[in-house]
Amino acid sequence: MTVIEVGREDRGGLTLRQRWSHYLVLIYGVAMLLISINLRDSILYATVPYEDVRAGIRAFYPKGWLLDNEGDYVFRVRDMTRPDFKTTIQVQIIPISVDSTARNLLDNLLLTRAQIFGQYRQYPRAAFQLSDESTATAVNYTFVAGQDDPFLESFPTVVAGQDIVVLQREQAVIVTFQVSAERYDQLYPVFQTFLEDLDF
Amino acid sequence: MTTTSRLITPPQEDEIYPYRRVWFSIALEAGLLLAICVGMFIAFNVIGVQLPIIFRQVINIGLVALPVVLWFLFSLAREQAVSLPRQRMLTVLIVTGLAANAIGLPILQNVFQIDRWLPLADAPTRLVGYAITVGSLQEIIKYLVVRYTTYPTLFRIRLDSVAYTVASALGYSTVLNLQFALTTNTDPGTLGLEIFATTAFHIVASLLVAYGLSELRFASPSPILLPLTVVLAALIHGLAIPLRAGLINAGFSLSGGFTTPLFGLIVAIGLLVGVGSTMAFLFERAERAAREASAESGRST
Repeated sequence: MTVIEVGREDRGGLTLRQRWSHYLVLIYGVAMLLISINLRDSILYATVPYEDVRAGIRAFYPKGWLLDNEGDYVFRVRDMTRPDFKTTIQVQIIPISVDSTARNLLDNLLLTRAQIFGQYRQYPRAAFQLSDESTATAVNYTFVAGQDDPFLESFPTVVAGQDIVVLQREQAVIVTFQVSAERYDQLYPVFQTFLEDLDF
Repeated sequence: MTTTSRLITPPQEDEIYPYRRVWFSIALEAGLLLAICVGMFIAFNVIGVQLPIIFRQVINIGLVALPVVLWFLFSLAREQAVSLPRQRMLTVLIVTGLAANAIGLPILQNVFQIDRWLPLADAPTRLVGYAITVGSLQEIIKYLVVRYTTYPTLFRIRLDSVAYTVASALGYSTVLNLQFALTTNTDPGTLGLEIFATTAFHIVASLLVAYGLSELRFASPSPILLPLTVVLAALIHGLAIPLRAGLINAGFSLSGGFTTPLFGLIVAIGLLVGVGSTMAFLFERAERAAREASAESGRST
């Protein structure tokens, strides 16, 4: 049996069936847009748990980044897929005296880093609100980093960084984020997510 | 003197087909594009022709324009030679190109940011990811352009849908090819293969959507047929990109790594011939079924 639609054309010359087909394609398009954004976020912001019982730190770092806890820090993760400067998040705990302030600590960091990094420049310090409503001190800075391997013959990279300093009992927790300056805005949400999940 | 009368049979008048033959144009354009691109590959990558960089850039731009030039010669110009030419072909091509540059590329680069996560993802995620992001977005944009510039008023026969969707495919692929040529410093041989593959994938996907559009215009299929063809087009397009990339890219081995661009070419040719033949068969079958139904209804009345 053949069904013939009679008198079902609208002003645009489309039948009801044709209009519904078009609507379904539009619905498919919107659904794919939302799924794509969700898929992007689930991969870009995928994290891996890390816990150091001795230091009392629990964190979620970006999936695929290289974990390293061999240095003078609790742990450090780096995005080794970057061809230039490897984006870095580092958590460090420094014992301090009761009288120490965040300013003492940041001055000390300034003096140390100025000797290590080329063109190191620190910008005004500001209060920073953590996810648990406590207040920390944040400082932004820039420096110029070159490749360790001389055979790569690459241009130096301008690196932008941020230190978040939290004074807690007789220790200071310093959370550091360093990234190529041109991708700072793009990757800062990764650091924000890391800070929100950081527990110490 | 006797005269004999002779009955002369009047000459058989062939029925003139009033439309441009779409399948012939597509085959001719694709064949010529393939021949020129393979010729470039042999010249630059096998024989090793060396040219100053300025000439190389000129050849690259010429290669990017080649699919559209062939389309102008064998599709658009031939439309003017038939008694019932198709309208707004150039409009479809230009509007799709503009939409690709103004909507498609910015969404892929700034919103989906596929360069940051898709190429590094594992194989299943890559296959699904390209289908959902790149495939869907491109097919929806091309569909919307054809839908709002030509459908349904300019669809007089089934193959009109093929003509218009292929024009939109060329508009979109030309923008992608131009972006590739301007952002990478590649030689004409490699660029030629890239252009052929990109153009072939877009034509293949558009043929599927063309079938859905033509059935919806001339038959009474289920309303989900058209969305299904768009989904299938997005899926095939999305799968073809990582599949080709995976075959081309060099693997790690003790003897070193070498790219294998010809494998990617085989994928593009296989898809174009396979899907093209299948769609030509489906269009022919639908046309025949419509003729038989028309004859049947004529006999019954």
